[in-house]
Amino acid sequence: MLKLFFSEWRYNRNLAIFEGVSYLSVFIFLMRDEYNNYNDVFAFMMFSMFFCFFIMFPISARRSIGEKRPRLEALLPISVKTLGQYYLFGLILYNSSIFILWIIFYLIKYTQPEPGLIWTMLSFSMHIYIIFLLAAIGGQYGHYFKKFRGIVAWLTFISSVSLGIFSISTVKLTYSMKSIESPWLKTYLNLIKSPSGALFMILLAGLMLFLFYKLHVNRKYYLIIK
Amino acid sequence: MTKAIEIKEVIKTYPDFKLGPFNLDLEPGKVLAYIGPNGAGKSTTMHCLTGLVEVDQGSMKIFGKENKPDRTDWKFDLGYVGDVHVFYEKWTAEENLKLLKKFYPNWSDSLVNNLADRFRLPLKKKAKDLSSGNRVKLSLILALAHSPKLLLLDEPTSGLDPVARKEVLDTLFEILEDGNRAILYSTHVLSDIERLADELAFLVDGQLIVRNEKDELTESWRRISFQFKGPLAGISSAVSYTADDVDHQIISRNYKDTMHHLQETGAQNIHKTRLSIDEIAVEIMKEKM
Repeated sequence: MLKLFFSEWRYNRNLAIFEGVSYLSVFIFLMRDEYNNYNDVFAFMMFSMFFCFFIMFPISARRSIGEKRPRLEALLPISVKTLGQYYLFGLILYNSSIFILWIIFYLIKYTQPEPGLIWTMLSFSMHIYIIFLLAAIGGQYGHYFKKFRGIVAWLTFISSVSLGIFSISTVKLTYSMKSIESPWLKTYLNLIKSPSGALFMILLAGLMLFLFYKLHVNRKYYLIIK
Repeated sequence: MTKAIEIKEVIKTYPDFKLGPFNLDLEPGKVLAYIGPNGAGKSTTMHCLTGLVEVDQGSMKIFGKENKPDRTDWKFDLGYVGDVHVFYEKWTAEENLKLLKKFYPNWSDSLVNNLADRFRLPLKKKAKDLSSGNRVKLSLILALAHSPKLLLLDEPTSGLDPVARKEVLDTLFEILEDGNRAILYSTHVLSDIERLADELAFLVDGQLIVRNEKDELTESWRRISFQFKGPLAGISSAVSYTADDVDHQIISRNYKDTMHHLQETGAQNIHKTRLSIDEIAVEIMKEKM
């Protein structure tokens, strides 16, 4: 598994450098004194989510599906189970590294503990998982059920983009509660700040991870991509 | 002796296509041409054998090992070149080779260099910049470099122009003529594999219809022309029959039988000519379609 993981890392090195430099630039920019207020962690989160959903994810998806590399990997002497674990490991590592960046940012910026902010960060980290996994599961489902491939592909695309925009908007709204009148949205925003809300998001993301893994273990069904 | 391939009662069903149930085996060192029209199920068989697709029923063994997706031991004996050539596109041919080297203990660098020289493959070029012919060559090197005992070739030259196809096939056959490995070669252009094949298996609509030794087929099939006044019926072993006044022509799957029958009925000026393996294949498939 590690051989494949490091190969993928080496293959995507330029993309990783591009991502690292982008994060670092924004990190340094927001660390400046004049941005020393409650918004900066949210600004960093908004940037991360925008970057993930609308830059990194399309590039990665295009490379993986367009190049059909999963098919090459499936022919290697690696069990399907290990391949499933490798994909899952990659996804968890990627998302966790984003969450860790948020935590580092928070720890540097805030000397006083703000538990509400931690739960919010955790909830939004789970949002990233959920949206990534939704797109991945939809993509696999679309390949498996060939008859509905087009519909599922469009549904997946539209729902991923919508959820991405919704999540980023939610980050913005979370620190500007005054203007919100909708009781539903208010409840939702309050929920993601709470430990129970974060736990719910973790459970939802966990369920999606489980589904994703199961589909990857059965990935042989969707590898025949013409 | 353990068979290179052992397929037993395999069924794979798609919404619009069903492969099998069928049985197929291949002895080590033998070359089996797997022939059928487009959509007959050749690629599906290959995908099942390589583990890209799981069968619904039955079993498939590679050198006695079941090709289950959770096992890897059977993959070390296997080399596969499909009709789609997949690489790490941004990497050079050399880097792609280096990646695969990590997974195969039997990998031979000297064999890779030898093959690359013979194929005249530009190893320093990125995969995405390789021509169609060179992509096939790289796929072949990737499949051969770990010296697999079984090679699955699924129309590897499809999409190539005639010159590139001939170049790839000539070099490939030079390499494969050592006779040490079993080969299942799927194609619908039989002349591609005629030189190498020991046996021919014909697949139509997901069913294996005929399997024969190549020599047996070429020895028994003939085009027979003769003259006879009046119509002829019930000609033994005739696959096709045309008549123009007194001139008749038959394609026979067992020319000795047919000749004997014609002589008994009083046919005149009987001439027989050999059929090419392509012509035989067309007749077999026409008969079953």
